[in-house]
Amino acid sequence: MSIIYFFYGLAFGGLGLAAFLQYRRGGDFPLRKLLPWLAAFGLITATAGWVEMFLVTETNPETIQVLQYLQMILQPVSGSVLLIFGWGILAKLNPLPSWTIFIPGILIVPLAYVITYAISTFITPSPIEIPIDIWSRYLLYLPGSLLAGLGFLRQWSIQRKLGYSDVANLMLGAGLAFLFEAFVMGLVVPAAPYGPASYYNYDRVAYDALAAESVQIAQPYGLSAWLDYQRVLEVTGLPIQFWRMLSAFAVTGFVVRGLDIFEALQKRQLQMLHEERDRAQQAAFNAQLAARQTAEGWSDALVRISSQIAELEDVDRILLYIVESARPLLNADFMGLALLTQDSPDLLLKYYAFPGRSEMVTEAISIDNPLILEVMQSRTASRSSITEAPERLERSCPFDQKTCGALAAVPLNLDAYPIGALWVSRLALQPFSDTDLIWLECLADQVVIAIKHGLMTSQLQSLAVTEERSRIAREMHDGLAQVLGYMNLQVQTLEAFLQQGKLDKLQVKLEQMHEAVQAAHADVRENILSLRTTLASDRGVIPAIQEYLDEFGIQTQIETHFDNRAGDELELASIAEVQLVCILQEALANVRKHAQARNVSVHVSRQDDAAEQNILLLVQDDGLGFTPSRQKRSFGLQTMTERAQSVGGSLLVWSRPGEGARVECRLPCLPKERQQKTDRILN
Amino acid sequence: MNVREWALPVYTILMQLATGALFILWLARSFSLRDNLSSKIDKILRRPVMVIFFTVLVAIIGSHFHLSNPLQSFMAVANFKHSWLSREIVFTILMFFTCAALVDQLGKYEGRHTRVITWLGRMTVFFGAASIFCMSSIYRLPTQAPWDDWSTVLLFFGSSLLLGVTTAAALGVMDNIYGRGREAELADERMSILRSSFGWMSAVITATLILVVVVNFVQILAVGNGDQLAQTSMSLLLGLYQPLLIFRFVILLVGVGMFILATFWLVKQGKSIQELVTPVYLACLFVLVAEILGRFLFYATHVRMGI
Repeated sequence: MSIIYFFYGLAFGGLGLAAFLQYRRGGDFPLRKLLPWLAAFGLITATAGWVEMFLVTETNPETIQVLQYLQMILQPVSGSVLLIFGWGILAKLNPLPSWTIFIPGILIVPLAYVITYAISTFITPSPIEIPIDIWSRYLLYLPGSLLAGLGFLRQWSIQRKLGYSDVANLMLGAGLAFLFEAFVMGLVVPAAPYGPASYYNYDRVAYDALAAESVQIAQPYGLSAWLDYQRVLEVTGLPIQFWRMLSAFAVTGFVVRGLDIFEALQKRQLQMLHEERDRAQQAAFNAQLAARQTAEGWSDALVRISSQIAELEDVDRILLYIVESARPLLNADFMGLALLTQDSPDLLLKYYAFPGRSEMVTEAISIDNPLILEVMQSRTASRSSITEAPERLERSCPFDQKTCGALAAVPLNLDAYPIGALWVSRLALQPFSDTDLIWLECLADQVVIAIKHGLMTSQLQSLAVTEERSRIAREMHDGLAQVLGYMNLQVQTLEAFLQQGKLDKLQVKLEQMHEAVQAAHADVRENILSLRTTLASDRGVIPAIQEYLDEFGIQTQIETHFDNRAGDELELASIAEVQLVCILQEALANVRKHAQARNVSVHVSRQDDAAEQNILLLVQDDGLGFTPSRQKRSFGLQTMTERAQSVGGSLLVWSRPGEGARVECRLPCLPKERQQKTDRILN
Repeated sequence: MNVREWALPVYTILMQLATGALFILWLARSFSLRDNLSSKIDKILRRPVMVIFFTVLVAIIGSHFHLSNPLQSFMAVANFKHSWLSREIVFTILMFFTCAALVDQLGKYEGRHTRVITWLGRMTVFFGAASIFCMSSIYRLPTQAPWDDWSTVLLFFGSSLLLGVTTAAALGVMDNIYGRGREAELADERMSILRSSFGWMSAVITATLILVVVVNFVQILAVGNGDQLAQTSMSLLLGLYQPLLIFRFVILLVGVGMFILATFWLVKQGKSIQELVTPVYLACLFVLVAEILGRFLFYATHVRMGI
C-alpha cells in the first residue's frame, strides 16, 4: 500500500512540477494563468499522498496524530485548488454562453442545503477526519474534477472544430482522465454514519449517529457498494488507492503532454494573428495611400480650377473643365451641370462629361430628374440610397437610355438663390458616399465662384473701356483739341493777314502753325504707340519695351539704346509689369518734350539683396537737364512716383542743367515661393 | 434521511427568500420611479420576478412532500378561521397566483399599466409576508414556551430580509450580465439601479443582522429561564449543537460582510459588475447556509427532525 501511495504522490508531484516549470517558461497563452493552480494542486495532492504513505507505515501515535492533522489541512486545500483550476479551465479559457450565469443561481439553493447538511455531520460521533475526508471529496474533489474534465472536453470540442486533431485528442484524454478522477477521488469515500456515504456503507454503519442507536438503512438508487472502499477491493481485486494512483498518472500524462502542445498551438495561433495583423496593416496602408491619392487628385483639380478662375479664363472653359476633371475623381459615369436661364423656365443642361466625351451644350436639353429638381427646390445636397426607387434615378444621364443605379446632386446657389444643379451618376448600383457629396459641394462652390468671377470680369471690362475712353477724350481735349482750337485762331489770323496783304507776317504764322501741327502729330502718334504697347502685353514686357523703343526712335529721331540684363522673365506681378511700361513711356515722353536729347539709354537689370529681389529700370538722356528742386510740382514726375509706389517700388530722378537726366525706378519681384507656386499651378 | 423532513425547511426557507427578494426589488422599483432613475424598470424587473415566481413554485412543490396528499391541499381553506397552517397555505397560494399575474403583466405590458403592476407587486409581497407570519405563528404553541413569543415572528421576518437582500442583489447581478449583450439599451439603467440600490440594501442587511443577533440572544435567555422542556432545548443548543450555533453566526457575519464589501467595490471603487459576481454569489450562499443552519437548529432543539 505504501508503494501505491508513493507512486500516487509521485504522479501528482510530477504534474505539479511540470506545471510549475511550464509556468516559469513564460509565454502569454491563456492557460498560463491557471498553471499556478494546477502546480499547487499537483504538489499539495502529492504531499497528501506521501503523508498517507507515512500514516500506513508509522507506528508512533504522536507522529500519526500530527500526520492526521496535516492530512486534514492538505485534503481540503488541494480540493479547493482543484476546484479553482477546474472552474478556470472551463470558464476562463473561452467565454461561456451568457445563459450560464444562471447556473450558479440555480445551484445555489441545493448547494446551500448540501453544505448545511455537511456542516451538521461534524457533530456526529465519528472522528473528525472522516467528515473532512468525505466532504473534501464530495464538495471539492468531485466538482473540481468534473469542472476540469468538462473544461478539457470543451477544449477538445473547440480544437477539433479548429482542425487541430493532435491537440484535440490530448484534450479528450485529459478530460476523460479528470472524469475518472472525479469518480475514484470524489465519489468513493470512507465509511461514515451519514448519507450519502451511509447508503453504500450500510453494512459498516449500523447505528444512527445522532441518536446513537441501531437503524435499518435502505439501499436505494443502486449505487450501493460500488462506491465503497471494501467493495472496490472485492470486485477489482485492487484497493481504491491503486485506482486513484492510476487516475493520477492518467491526468498527469495527458495534461503534461497537453501543456506542450497547447503552447505550440498558441504560438501557431499567435503566428496566424501576426500574419493577419500584417495583412490588415497592409490593407490599411493601401487604403490610406488610395485616400491620399484621391485627396491629392482633388487638391490638384481644385487648385487648377482656382487658378483658372484667378486668371480670368473664359467661364465656359472653367465650367467644362470642372465637369471634365471631377467626373473620374468621383468614379462617376456621367457628370452634368445644368443652369436656370432667363430664356426658359426649365433647368437646362449646359455642360456634361462622360467617358471619352465632354462638351458645352448649345441646344436646350431640359433636366427633369425628380431627385435633381428636389435638390434644386430644397437647396440641399442629396444622394440616392441603395433602396432608391428607380423612377427617381431616371433621366439623370440625358445621353444614355439606361437608368442609372446611383445619383448624387448638389444645388448651385448664387446669393441664396438657386441658379442650377451639379450632379454625378453611376450606372452600377453603387451609391455615392457622404464624402463624395462633400466633394461635390466643394465643386459646386467653385462653379458658383467661377460664375461670379465671370460676371465681375465683364463688369470690370465695361468699366475699363469707359475709363479708357474718358482718358482718350481727356488727351484729345488737352492735346489735339487745343491744337485744333489754336489752329482755328491762326487760320483766322492768316485770313486777316492775307486780306491786309501782310505776307511776311503770314509766312511767320504759317511756320508756327506747321510746328504746332507737327507737335500735335507727335503727341497723337505717341499716344497710339503707348496704347498699343500697354495693351499688347501678351508678348512679354521685354519684347514690348524693345519694340516701343524702336518705334520711339523712329518717331522722334532720338537715338535709343536698350540694355537688358534681367533676362526675359522679370518675375514681376502683372500689375507691376504694367506700371513699369507706363513709367518708361512717361519718362521717354518727357525726354521727347523737354530734354532736346540726341540719345536716350534704357537699362533693365536685377538687384538682389538679402530681403528681396528688385528690377531696376534706368532711363538716361544727354539732353538739357534741369534742376530737380524746381520740378517738384511736375505732374509727370509725380505720376511716375505714384505708379512705382503703388506696387511697392520707388522712383528717383537725377538731373543737372546741361548734364541730361536720369530716372531710376525700382520695383520688387514676386517672392520665390510664390513664383514656385505660380509655376506649379501653371504647369 | 427522510425526504418528508427535508421538505419543510425547503418550503419555509424558499418562501422567505422569495418574499424578501420581491420586497427588496419592489423597494428598488419604488425608489427608481420616485427618483426617475429608470423609466424601463418594469422591463428590467421581468426576469428577476420570473425567477422569484419559480422559487415560489418550487417551494409549493416542496411543501407538498411534507403535507402528504397534494390533491387535498385545497381543503385547507375550510379551516382558515381556526388554523395557522390553513392560513399559511391560503396565503401561499394567493401569493403564487398574484406573482403569476405579476409575471404576466410585466411580460405583456412593459412600460404600461404601471399602477396595475405596482399593486400586483404590493399584493404579492403582502401575501408572502402574511404567509411568513402564519408559518411563524404555527410554532407559537402554549406548550412550547420558548416559541410562544414575538421573537419567533421577528426571527422569521429577519431571515426573510437577510435572504431577500442577498438574493435580490444576486438576481440583479445575474440579470445585468445576462442582459448586457441582449438588451444593450437597458445596460446603463440597470447599472444605475444597482449602484443606487446597493447602498440602502447594505444598510437594511446590517440592521437586520443586528436585529437577528439581538433577538436570538434574547430568545436564548428566555429559553434558559423556561420550563424543563425549554431547559432541555437549551442544553442541546449549548451542548451538542453549540459548534453549529457559533458557525451559523460566523458564516452569517461573513456573508453580510461580503455583501458590504461588494457594495464598497461597486459604489466607492466603481468596479465592474463582472467583479461583483463572486462576492455577491458568496454572500448569498453564506447567508443561505446560515439561515438553513439556523432553521435546522430551530427544529433540532425543539422538534426531532432527524437531519
